[in-house]
Amino acid sequence: MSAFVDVAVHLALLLAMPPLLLGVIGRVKARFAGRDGPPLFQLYFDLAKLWRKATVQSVTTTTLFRVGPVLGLVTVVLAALVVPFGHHPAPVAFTGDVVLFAYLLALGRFFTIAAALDTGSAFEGMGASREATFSCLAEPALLLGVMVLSKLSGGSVSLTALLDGAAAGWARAAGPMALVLAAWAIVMLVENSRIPFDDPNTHLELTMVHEVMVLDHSGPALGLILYGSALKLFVLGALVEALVVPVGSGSAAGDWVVFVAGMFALALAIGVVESTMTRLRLLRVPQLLVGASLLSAFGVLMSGR
Amino acid sequence: MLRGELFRGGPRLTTHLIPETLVLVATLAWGASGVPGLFLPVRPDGRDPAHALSTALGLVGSALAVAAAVLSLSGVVAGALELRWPVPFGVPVLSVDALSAVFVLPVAVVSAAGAVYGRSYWPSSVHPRSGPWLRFWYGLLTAAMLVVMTARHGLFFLFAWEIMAVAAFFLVSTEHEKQDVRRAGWIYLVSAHVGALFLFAMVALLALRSGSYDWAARPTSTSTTLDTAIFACGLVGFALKAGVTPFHFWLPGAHANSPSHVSAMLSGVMLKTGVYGVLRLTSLVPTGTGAATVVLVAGAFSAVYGIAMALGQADYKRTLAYSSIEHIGIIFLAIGLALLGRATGEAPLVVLGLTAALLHTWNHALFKSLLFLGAGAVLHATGTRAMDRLGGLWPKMPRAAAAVLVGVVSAAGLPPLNGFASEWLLYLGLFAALGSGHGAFAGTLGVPVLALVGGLALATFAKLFGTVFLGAPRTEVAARAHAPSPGMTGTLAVLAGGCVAASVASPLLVRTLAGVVGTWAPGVHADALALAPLGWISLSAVAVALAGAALFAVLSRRIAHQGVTRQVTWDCGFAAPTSRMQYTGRSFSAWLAGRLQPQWTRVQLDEERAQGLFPRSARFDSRAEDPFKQRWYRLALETFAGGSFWLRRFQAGVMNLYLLYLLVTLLAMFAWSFVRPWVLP
Repeated sequence: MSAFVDVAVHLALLLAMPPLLLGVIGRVKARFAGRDGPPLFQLYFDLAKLWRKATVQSVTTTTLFRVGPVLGLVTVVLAALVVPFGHHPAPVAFTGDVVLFAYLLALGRFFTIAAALDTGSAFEGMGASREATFSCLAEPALLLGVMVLSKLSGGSVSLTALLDGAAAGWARAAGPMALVLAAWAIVMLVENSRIPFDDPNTHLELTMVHEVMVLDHSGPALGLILYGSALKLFVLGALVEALVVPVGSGSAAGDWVVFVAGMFALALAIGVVESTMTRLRLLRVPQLLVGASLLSAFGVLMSGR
Repeated sequence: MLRGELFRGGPRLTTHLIPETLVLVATLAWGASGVPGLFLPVRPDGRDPAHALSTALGLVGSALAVAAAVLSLSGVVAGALELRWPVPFGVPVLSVDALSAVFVLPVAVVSAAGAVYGRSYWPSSVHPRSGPWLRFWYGLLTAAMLVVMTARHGLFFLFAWEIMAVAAFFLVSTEHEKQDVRRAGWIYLVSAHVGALFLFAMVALLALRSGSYDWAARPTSTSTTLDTAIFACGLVGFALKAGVTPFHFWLPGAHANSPSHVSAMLSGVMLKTGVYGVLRLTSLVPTGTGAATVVLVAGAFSAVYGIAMALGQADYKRTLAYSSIEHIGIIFLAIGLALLGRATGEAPLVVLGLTAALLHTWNHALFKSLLFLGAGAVLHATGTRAMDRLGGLWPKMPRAAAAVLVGVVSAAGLPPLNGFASEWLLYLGLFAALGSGHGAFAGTLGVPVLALVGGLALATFAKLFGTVFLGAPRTEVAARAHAPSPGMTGTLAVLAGGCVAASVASPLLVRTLAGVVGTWAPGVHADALALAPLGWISLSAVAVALAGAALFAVLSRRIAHQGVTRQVTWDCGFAAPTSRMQYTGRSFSAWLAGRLQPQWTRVQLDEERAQGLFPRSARFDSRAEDPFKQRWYRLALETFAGGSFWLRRFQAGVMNLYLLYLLVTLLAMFAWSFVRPWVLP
């Protein structure tokens, strides 16, 4: 029974909460800029509006153009099914689900890139090229972090078990855990195209990565894309949150409350980072990504035996 | 093992020799498939009955070989079919055990697909001269490969190996009027024969070890030096055939310059004879952790190097060839993991490593042949191998493009397709190694390498598919491309269906492969599916497909309901985009293939930028040269040639000097025959 409740709450949080997080980030950034900012629930209104709109589609595009937003959302939802939220076991957990997680996100990325190249536009090609470059360099950082956690939790390869062992990991080897946290925070920022890798607000093509890939989408498809990227931020944020808050509160309901509070705190932190840092020069981004991989690699070496 | 007889007193076949007999008949069918074409002429109206006959014989041969493999994998005990021909050095023996059956299956499937494809791709009406010869060598290649996979006698194996190498040379040189093709053919021939030399050494040392050329004989001397020498020779020889870095230099040229269905055979199947050779060798000869480390590191390096070079290519067939190097590297990484597990006694590493290697062999054969046949369709339609001249081919050939998309997603190792299933198994094996004591370095090296390779593969295949099929046509040839014939599209669809089926049925395939683990590493009892729940992966594949289809239907209905208008690409409001404004393949990969790579693998740029206020001209060219071939091998060979130049003074061209050499040699031999009893006891 409680497993069923866990799954239901997991799905409800996954499907309903992410746009609120983006609203929090927007509010924080606005406050830093001395403005009031948009309402917290603005993205929900935007999604409803987009769902009602007509579509303008390029004549150069093929069926693949609509597959991009669809798979971008489907892969994130399926990937989220293996991520444990707030010390509750994930709805699906099996040996090796962490690799499936990483590669489902890669599948979504592949089809987003393909949809961008489908338009035959120079801007989308540029965004696709940058996205491919950045994600290629960020992948090893994610999996090296998984290696550290696997070593510290006795060789398991399932996200639920890995993140459950985070508390013991912090107690035994805080150094490697801190490195993994730093690396995963960087991966979360780059995968979701936040500052300092990409600016979700500029809409200036020469400075964007993710925003420029979706320039030609409109109407319901654009709504799916915005919703999918909110979910992706939520899922990767949940990974970081599980590292930062390794201990449970003891009761099931308390864990959920702590998780929700943790996600709001994470959104606050992202908002602060976005307001206080500028976007890096593009040529510096690969260096930072390789640095994240090196941090994880040091963590692997430090967590030796 | 049972011993059967053939050709003496009539065949006496027991049920236990059926797989071997089927393979023998399949070999004869394929070998004979091309022979009628050499004698029957092509009719004036272009019809060629010999072509139909060769395709039919080939399909029969492949069906028999598939039946043999299925019988063997489902538990029929391997027999030993002796072919009592009056040849020296013993009796050739054929045997189909589980390991052979695993490799016979891709040979049969890909050769049949290529034969059917070749009917539309290389018809006799268009190629009346080269067609019959191509089919002859193709049949001979398939027959030779079937024997290579099933031979159990050293010299018989070498005989088939040589025929395979020579047949492949003639196939690569089909269009020998082009200089690039001739060059690629020569480089392939040289490398194949250098590899064969090492294999000659390996077979001779094996015979020394066990007293006869029969590989089933028990070893009489067990010296680790001998074992190491055998393994070293065999590894170099098989690595040259499989295309493991640094022995890969022949591969891109040969695969890119041959007709596409031949490329599919070479890349999908012939490389696997090298993999089979390493597995057969390591089942005969025990190896230690040193050998495992060498194979592991070679595989890891090969994987990263292959995909890094693939990213920088401008020719789509060369991209696919370098991607084959990457996948063979992954297979060798898995084999190295299995060898490590066998040497340190850790069963999970053996089971997961070997199963991942074999499953990836099957998967690679399927999707790489699909990709090369798709490349053939594009080449047939446009006549150019340059990616940056193409674009927008999807509307012209939607079904072929969808099949190629399946191949591309598989080759990039993405769920829900079969490339991901075998890489996932390898990941689990590497994570298991991480937790074990002795194998930790394998996991520490392997996991980041696989992650990096996965990212690069995604970029490479997104570039390949996007530049060729998506966007707007960049030149006239792309705009005028025609759809491929139904025969070609049908073959592509069948192979794409095979990829999907292999993904969904991967737990079943792994269960079938369990028998091979028992043959290769007796005493290892571990269940791959217990260690690696592949059922979840196939479930996820089905989930992605169903959820994606459902959401796609919902989205399409909503879009249709709310209304859709078609306009030019927004292009930030430019409103007059041309196809030249699109990103080319080279620009897509410019960053990853250029600045972010070490100097020696980087794409070389050759540009003359526009200068000043009224620039006259500007020029841009990029070359992706293989540093092994262009720099290191060339440097080594030139040094060797230069260093041996002083020997030429002995070749003065004067007959008297040569007679003097003969006299001196004779005198020296006389002297030696007198001095020898005192020198040697």
